[in-house]
Amino acid sequence: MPLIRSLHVPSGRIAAAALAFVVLAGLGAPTDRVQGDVQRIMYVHVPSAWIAYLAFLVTFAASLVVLHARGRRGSGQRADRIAVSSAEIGLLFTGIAIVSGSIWGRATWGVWWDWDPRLTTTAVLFVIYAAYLLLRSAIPDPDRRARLAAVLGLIAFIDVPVVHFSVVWWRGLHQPPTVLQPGHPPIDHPMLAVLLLSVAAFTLVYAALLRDRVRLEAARDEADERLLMEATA
Amino acid sequence: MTDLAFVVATHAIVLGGIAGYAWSLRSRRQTAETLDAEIWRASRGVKPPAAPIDRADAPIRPVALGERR
Repeated sequence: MPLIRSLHVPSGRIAAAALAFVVLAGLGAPTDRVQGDVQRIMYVHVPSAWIAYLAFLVTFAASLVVLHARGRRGSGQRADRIAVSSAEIGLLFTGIAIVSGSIWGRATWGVWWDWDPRLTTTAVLFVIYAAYLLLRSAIPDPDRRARLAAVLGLIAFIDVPVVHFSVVWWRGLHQPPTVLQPGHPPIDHPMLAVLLLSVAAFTLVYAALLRDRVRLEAARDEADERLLMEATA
Repeated sequence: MTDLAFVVATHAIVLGGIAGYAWSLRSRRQTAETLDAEIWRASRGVKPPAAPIDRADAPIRPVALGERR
């Protein structure tokens, strides 16, 4: 993450500052006329879903690099580290989006869960990437693990556009896209500004977490190499 | 539950989730950096190398009368 590295600030502090900003901005945003205060959940729910999309897109791109490098050779090793790191963070934010959406749904729809197309496809997304991480943990050989996970990383991404367009393709409880709607977004400008700033803050948090997660993967690779040498010495 | 309670609960879950994950990254990295060889071998099913036999320490068995060496 060159941006964070150039700031010379620990990533934890950047993440904490960004999250504090999201909370304060969300509380300071105008109150929704119809939903009232509960609409403020949008300032953490929508950015969480956005980060999940972004994280899985990064896993998809890194998986392409791994397959091009035919495993962990050359740039494949770094790409494999990025792929697993981003998938794990994406899974975290998918979970956060589901939980925050469930609380919002209880307050506005009166139910914690509904088999609505958006909710169902998001739950499927969560299960697919949980399976991706389980697959990785089940294969001991690093090179084989990288190649098989890369194939799944490409296939799994198919569900992301399905999740996004589910509110357009099928009828359900979930509202259609607001910000990415073609033409004029039907959202008040101060609310849109807070939402976009929250998305930017969450993106910064994602970058900080990704940097730390990739470092963890590098530390594991180093430990593997060191201990394999000790074991075979 | 009031509207504000829903908002506070959501923010607590989101912030707690992210902070917990960040803490787990630090903890897992420390574990990887100080990983013990024995635990590593056990997790991968690698057998420890056989200890070299020090012939000087080998027990001396008394030889019975008439026994061939």
